[in-house]
Order: sequence, then structure tokens, then C-alpha cells
Amino acid sequence: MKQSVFVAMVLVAGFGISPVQAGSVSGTIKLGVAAPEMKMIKVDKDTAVCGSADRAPEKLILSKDKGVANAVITIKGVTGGKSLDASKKIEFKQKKCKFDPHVLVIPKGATIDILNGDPITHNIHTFPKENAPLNKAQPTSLPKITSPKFEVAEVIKVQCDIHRGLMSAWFVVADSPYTVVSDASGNFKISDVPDGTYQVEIWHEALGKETKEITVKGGDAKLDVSLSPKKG
Amino acid sequence: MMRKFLILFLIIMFAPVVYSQETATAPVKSAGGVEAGKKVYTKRCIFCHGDQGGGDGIAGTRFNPKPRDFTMGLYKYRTTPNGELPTDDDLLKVVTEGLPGTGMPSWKSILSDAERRDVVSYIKTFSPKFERQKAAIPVVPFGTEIPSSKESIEKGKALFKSLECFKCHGNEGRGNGPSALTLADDKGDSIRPRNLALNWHFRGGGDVKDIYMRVNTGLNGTPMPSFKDSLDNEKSWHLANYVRSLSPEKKPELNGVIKSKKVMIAIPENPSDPFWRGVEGSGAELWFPMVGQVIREPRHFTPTVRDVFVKSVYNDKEVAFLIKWNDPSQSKDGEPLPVVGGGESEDDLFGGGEEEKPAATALDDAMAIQFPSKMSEGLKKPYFLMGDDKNSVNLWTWKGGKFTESNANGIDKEKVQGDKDQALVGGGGYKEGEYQVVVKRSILTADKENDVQFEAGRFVPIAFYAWDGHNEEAKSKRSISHWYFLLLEPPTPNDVYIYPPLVAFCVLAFGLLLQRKLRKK
Repeated sequence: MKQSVFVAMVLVAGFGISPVQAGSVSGTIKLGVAAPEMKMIKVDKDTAVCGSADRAPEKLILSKDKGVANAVITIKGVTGGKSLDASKKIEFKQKKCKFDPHVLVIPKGATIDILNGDPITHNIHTFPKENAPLNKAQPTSLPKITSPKFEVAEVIKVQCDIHRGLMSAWFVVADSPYTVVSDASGNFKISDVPDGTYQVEIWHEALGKETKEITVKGGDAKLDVSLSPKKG
Repeated sequence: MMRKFLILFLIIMFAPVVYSQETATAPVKSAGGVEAGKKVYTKRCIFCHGDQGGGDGIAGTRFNPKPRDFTMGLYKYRTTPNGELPTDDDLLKVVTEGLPGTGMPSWKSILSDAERRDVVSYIKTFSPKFERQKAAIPVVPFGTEIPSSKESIEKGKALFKSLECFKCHGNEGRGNGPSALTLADDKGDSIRPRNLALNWHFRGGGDVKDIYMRVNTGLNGTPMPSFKDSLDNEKSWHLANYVRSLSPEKKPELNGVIKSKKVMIAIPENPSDPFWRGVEGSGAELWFPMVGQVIREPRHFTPTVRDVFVKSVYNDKEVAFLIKWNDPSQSKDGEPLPVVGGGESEDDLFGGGEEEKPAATALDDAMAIQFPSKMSEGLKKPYFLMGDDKNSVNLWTWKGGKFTESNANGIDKEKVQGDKDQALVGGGGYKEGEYQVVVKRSILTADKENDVQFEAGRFVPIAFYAWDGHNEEAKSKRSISHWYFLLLEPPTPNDVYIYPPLVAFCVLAFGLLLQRKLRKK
């Protein structure tokens, strides 16, 4: 091979492998104990919109093989790599008397658009410890409300009081861009993680917090977590 | 040299102290205010609000609503937007005027203005939010006022419907909406939407201006949201005018005598009959306050029914009463109680193995009218709470749609009269947060010992009880009232229309005759 071509190939290969070595972290969150019996929730309000079928509680959503949905996985202490993007558009929807998503990750400093897709009034009522609290009524004539900025990283409970028991959610105000929510099967993937060893925090509303360690060295680092309820 | 230095040193050290004493009216944030405020707080406030401001003082355990937990930095009655802190004036107003219908009294007559300002500055120290607040707290302004009118009220009524206020407050505002019974405040305690038909119980004030402010700011720490995003100044006034119109124009005055009007027709048993509506047919309606029974165990510190409305009429045969009272829930014995906080259980999902607590059930709603069984000579009345050993009371009870006559010589000594002696008739029921019940009985009965006997022109003591089945109210856990009086108004005799004019005519005739005689002379 011509020497110049070889040099070009080396250079291309060199640039292809980014100067910062990075990989991803992925895995599955599973329930570490027997699945508990959960009472179905009766829908007794605004059945024309909310439906009248009983609902499974959203407090613990499990897949067939005990995959835990709506767990929040955060990689802590990452330096370099991507930065927090507080400018992207985030929508929080209300449809058929349900909040969507049930757990919403909000980058610190961002605002969200709260959308009401129902022909009835809902109210967004947040219960923060550090951020400014919010309780705003959203009739059907007001399809979009833009929230104030979420300035402090914390986990915030959200409820609609008119449909108390049917509509609850969580805002996770994150200061780390490496924060994701597990899907319906308990799977998650966090990309563009610079190589290194990190603490990973896993939080779930019914199972509490757990910390694991992970080392990323190019490629995909596997992190399967078995969550068990915390005692006391 | 040393002396000069010493004098200079002393001047420098003490001058500031002297100077600051001259400016004793420093703004509320001054350190002096907080120190002095702590003294006031420790003397007056800790019993309910707790020594750490957590709303957990020993005296507050029987309150509903509970005393404010200052550590949360969430305040209900403000002039600031939703989610914001209150202004100093907002806090000062509550300390000065108190909150009607709650355990928070007015401190106007006990604490000076300075003391009240001092305690406000101390209270703010319980939550770090006040320290962190750098910018001035914004205030919601009042736009040009739109006075109440038929049109404004109509517009407000339409807003009440489109914003869906009725979901919590009910179609007629009595706090009986479909979402009312499962509401909880930010601490998870049960909280109920305000009954908008009794504005003298509004904690933040019952005027139009107060209502304007509440709907625009919401009540922090409660399910009441702000509607500001859906309202402009005009809409706010229309809505406030409508809500204000749900309550009487003036708080009813306490008049201790129920004048039972004599009528010449058969008295209808249905409270919806037009006869009962107006003042012409059935006379004026009177209001009486009610309180919880806190004398005999088990006591009841948080009753639902605090107001009862009464009117009475009679004819040749019967005496009748129309009793009205507000209740946000129509309670039936045995029906399951709604879970505060909704179906989404706050319990530990993995608690497993603990005994399942039996689901709480409601009891029947009820109401009773109390009379002395026998009228005594003079003014002696039986003990107002269900009578005493020497003087029994006669009770007319309405419960779960049924009327019962009984007697009692004390709260736990009630005896229902035999089936043959039950003589009450009437009707009524529950509609949109209000019970209306008509109860009638013949004026005189055969049983002079156990049945109260009525007589025109005679003052008969009367008292009232009420129970809300959704609030664990039964037996001694009830709302009670004072003794008042019932007077069957003697009708105006026909003579009044004959003799006076006759006498007047005679006097006139005599006068004219005399005049003519004198003139002839």
C-alpha cells in the first residue's frame, strides 16, 4: 500500500476513535423479591374521560419477568463528556386522567410544558422540598402551561387533586446528564459515558435507593440490578 | 493620652448602641425583632405551633385544621402568586385578625402592633425559604373592580362551570363535589374544600376582594390551585361576585326566639313545597351556631355541622319545623368511607403479613330537636345536653330518613318511646350538600309526661343536634347547640280590627257634636 494512503487510514482510524474514550452503561432493573399483591384502583371520578375499568397501581410496574419500570438510574461524578442540556423541549402530558410519563427527568434549570389533552380540568400540584412549589389549575381551555424553572436537583412528587389516586407522577430534577428512566421491561441504556469508574444510583418510588459501582472502558458496561424494598 | 484614647474607645463602642435604640422602629428584618419575637412566640404560640414551629404543639392535636407547620414555608392566605412566600403583611394580618373557624385566634387585643411584627419576623426563621428569597416577593394586584350585578354573577356562574370548580366545591358550592372527600393537604391530612354558602367561615375573609385573591393565588400547601392562568381581572371579579352570591348578603344574626307563625292551611311535609320558600307563607328563617360536644366522653372536637337554619309554623292541629343544615356527604350506615388521598395507597407495598384493617364505614347522618318533656314552673330548664336526673328532655330525631321520638335523662340515658307513641311525621332529604327536613307533630298529645305540649303564647325551650356519618359522629360525638326558645305566636284577634276603629269613631262623633253645641252658644 502506498505510504500516504496508509498514513491517511491511520489518521482516519485515529479520528474515528474519539480522543475521549467512551462507552455506555446498560442493563435491566429487576425486583429482587417476590412480586407483591397489589390492589387495583377503582376509577370513580369522571368515568366518561378516565374510563371505568380498574387500574393497576403505578407505584410498582413490573414486567412478566419482574423487570421494574420507572426506576431512575443516574451515573454520578462524571467529568468531561456531555453537558446538561436545560434548553431542550420537555412535555408532560395529561391524557385520559393519567400523567405521561409517570417519571419525568428534568435537567436542572429547565422548564417543562404541561399539556392537558382531556376535556376536563386537572390541577398540577407538586410537593418539592427545595424547588418552588406549584399548584395550578388547568381547565381544558388552557391546553398548555409552561412551568417555572426547576432550579434545584431533587425528586418531586406530583399529583392531580381532582383525580387524587388516579393521577400521580414524579419529576426527577437532575444535575447529571447521565440520568435515565427504565422502560416497561426494566431495561435502560446510558450512552456517551466517558471511560472511568463511577457510582451509579438507582432510585424507585416503592423500592428506595441503591448504589452500585460500574467501570466503563469503551464498549457497553453491563449493569443488572436487583432491587429489594428497604426495611424501615 | 491614655485617657483620651479610652474616652474615644468608649464612645466608639457605645455610640452604635445608643443610635440603634433611637431607631427602635427598624424594619421587621432587624435582629432585635427576631429576638423579641422569640419571647412572644414562646409565651403565646408554642402550645399549638410547637417550640420548633412544626405545628405539633400539644394543644393543636385536637384541631382541624391543624396549626400551621412553619418549617414547610407553605402559607395559605396570601396576596402573592401561587408557590410564593407570603409578605410580612400577609403574616401580620393572620396574627392580628386570626382565622375564623379555626383554633387561630385574633391577637389584636393581646399583642401590641410591635409585638405582632416581632413575632412575624421570628416565625419566618423557621423556614430557610425566607432567607433564600433574594428578590422582593411579588404581590397580585387588584385590577379595576367590577361591582356585583346580575350579569356579572351570570358570567361568574359560567366560569365556575367551565373551570370546573364544582368538582371539589359542589354545584351549589357546599363543598360536596365528587372529588371533595378524598382530598389531602401537603402533610397528608384530610382537608375539605370550603363550603362557599357560609362565607363567615372563610378563613381568609368572606368579602369579594378576598375571594378574588384566593382564586388568583391558590392556597399553598392545599389542593386549592391558582386559576390565574385562566383568569384576567374581569373574569376574576365575575367569578368572585358569583361565589359571593352563594352566601347570604349578611352573616345572619343570632336571634334566640323562634317565632312560629300561625297559618290557616295544611302544612306541607315536603320541604320543596313553595310554602316553605318565602317569608310570606312560612315566616323568616333563623340561624343558630353549633359546636362539638366536648363535655361527655367520647368527646368530639372537630364536628362537621356548625350551622343550622330553622323556621317554624303551626295551625290548629300541628306544629311544624323546617330544619336545614349543610353536610358535604350524604352518609348511609355501613357504606364504605372514601380513602383520604385516593385509591393510590400510601402503604408499604411489601408490608405483607400485617392484619388488614377492616375498611372504615360510614354511619347515618342525623338531626334532632330537643324540648323539655314537661314545662316546669318558672324558668328552670333541663340540662341542655340531653337533660338530667330530675328533668328529662323530649327528642325528635331524624335519622336515615326515619323519625323517632324519645326521651333522655342524660347523654347515655336515652329511651325510645313505644311504637304506639311515635307521632312524628314529615319528609325531606339531601340535595347538593344540604339536608332539608320537615318534621311535624300535633300541638297536644295524650302523653303529658313524655311529650312536650305546645301552647300559643308560651315560650318553649328548644335545642338542636346534628351528626355527620362520614365523620365518625354517632351517640355522644355530635354537634350541639344552646337552649333557645320557641314561641307559637298568638294570632292577632279580630277584635283588634273592630274596637279601636269603633272607639275612634265615637270619639270623633262626640268631638264634632261638642264643637257644634259650643258654636251655637
